[in-house]
Amino acid sequence: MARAKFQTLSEQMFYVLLCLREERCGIDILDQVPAMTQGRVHVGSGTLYNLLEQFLEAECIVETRVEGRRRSYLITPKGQEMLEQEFQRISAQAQDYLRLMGKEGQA
Amino acid sequence: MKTRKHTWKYVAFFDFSEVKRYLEKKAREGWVLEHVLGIWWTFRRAEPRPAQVWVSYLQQDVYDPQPSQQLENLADLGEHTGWKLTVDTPTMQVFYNWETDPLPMETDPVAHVEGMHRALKRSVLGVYRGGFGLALAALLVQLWYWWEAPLQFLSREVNYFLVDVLFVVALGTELGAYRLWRNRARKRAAQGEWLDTRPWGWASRLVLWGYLVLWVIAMALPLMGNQWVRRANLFFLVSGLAFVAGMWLVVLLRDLLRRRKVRRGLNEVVTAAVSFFLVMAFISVLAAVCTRWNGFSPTASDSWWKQYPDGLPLTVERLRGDVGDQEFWVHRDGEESLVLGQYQGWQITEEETGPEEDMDTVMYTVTLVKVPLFYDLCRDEILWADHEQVDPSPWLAREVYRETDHGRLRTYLLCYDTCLVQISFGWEPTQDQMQLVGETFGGLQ
Repeated sequence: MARAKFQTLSEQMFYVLLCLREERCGIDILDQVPAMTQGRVHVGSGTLYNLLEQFLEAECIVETRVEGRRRSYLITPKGQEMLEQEFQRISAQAQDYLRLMGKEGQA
Repeated sequence: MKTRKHTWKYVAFFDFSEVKRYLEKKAREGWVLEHVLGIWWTFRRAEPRPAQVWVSYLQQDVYDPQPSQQLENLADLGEHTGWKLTVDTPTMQVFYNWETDPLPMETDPVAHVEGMHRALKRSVLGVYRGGFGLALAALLVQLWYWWEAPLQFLSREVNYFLVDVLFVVALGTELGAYRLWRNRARKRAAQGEWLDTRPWGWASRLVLWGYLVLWVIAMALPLMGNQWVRRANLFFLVSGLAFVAGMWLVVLLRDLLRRRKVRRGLNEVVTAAVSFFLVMAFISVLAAVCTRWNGFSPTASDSWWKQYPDGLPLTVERLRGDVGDQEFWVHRDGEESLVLGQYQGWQITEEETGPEEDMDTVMYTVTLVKVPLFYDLCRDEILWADHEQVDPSPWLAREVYRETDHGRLRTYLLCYDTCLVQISFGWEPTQDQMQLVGETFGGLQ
């Protein structure tokens, strides 16, 4: 079943929002995501464009600066909240995993 | 060696997988896309090598040579990962990447499906939905007309109805195919999977080809009818094609000016001026041809009435003999479609008569039933609430009905093999007159 919009974040949504804790332009984000994940996650240019458009529309980020064709963005409190919720969700998953695996290990 | 080549290719508005497959194959053959105008694709010669292709559907101004800010953003982001914006049309943009293993433009299927839908909603999806809504509304109006007045509908509107049905089916299939693809693609994307658009695009193309074939048949069939019907349909066919050609010319000009980087304002003025000139020329030619062919009137000398060069097939004089020096109002008219023809002939005396006296008046409507399926429908539609069945043999007919609440006219419905004749007399017809009517209308084709 298709999920409701932004109810949960995909890995790439998560990292794009995480990048925007600091003001960054699109090209910076393309470079920053692989750097902060040791090359594990890459965001394609088309995907980033779509995500930025969708995040702007949902007011999860704001455009902060326009210098020529370079546009910079920053996360909003709403975006921060979404990021926090996703973190809690992933953490809960991780804790469940550890708890269950730990029990199995004891058995 | 040819450095450019052109080809026709129709792709459903959402079928990016087919565009990608097609352009990657062309790149391996040494052809790179240079421009697209509707279904007219232009390629330029290049070194044959593998390429990765990606398509976006951002709405661009049809006059402005400058790309929109959104497209500039996307092009800059793409450039950073090796994707070069190669073709930019008002509804579709094509990116090429010549690296061997590039980072794809799209790495998140959820963002892709949502982003594509957002872009399509702002561009072609609105046009398709609008067209579908209008065609559907027209279809409903025609269906209502069919329900209210089946004979008039079958003899006048049925050709337009068939074309409209085909139009609704063609547009509906493409919209439906996109909806089905999107619903499934969203579910797959939630699982991190991508969904190819080609099966849905292929279904749309198949229906479109079917539509074109049926449309040509629908236009060609009436060309085998009576000469005035043939002329009218040929005229509609040619004028329809001329209209499409004119529209194509205007779009071609607008696109050419946009690609030559002509200012937006100048492009608008030139396009508007050429459109105005072409519309005026089109209307003038239409008016001239209509005048030349007598407005395709069913009473023209080459119509169904041609069989009766002296006027009406059945006159008061033929039926009753000498009528003295009376004045008559004579009228004939008609309509004909693929399935039905209706022709009216009236001869009404202008002499005043008393309420109980006979009138030298005869009026009839001949309904030619070309499709036997509609025979009973036509008969039941013509039959009056108050009627009785009478002996058909004097009329040389299969069945005959008489209107019982007739007023001053004696009205009958005569059912022959291929036609129905509703005929009213200003007197009580004799056996000989009935036979004459049967001989006149019984063998009609």
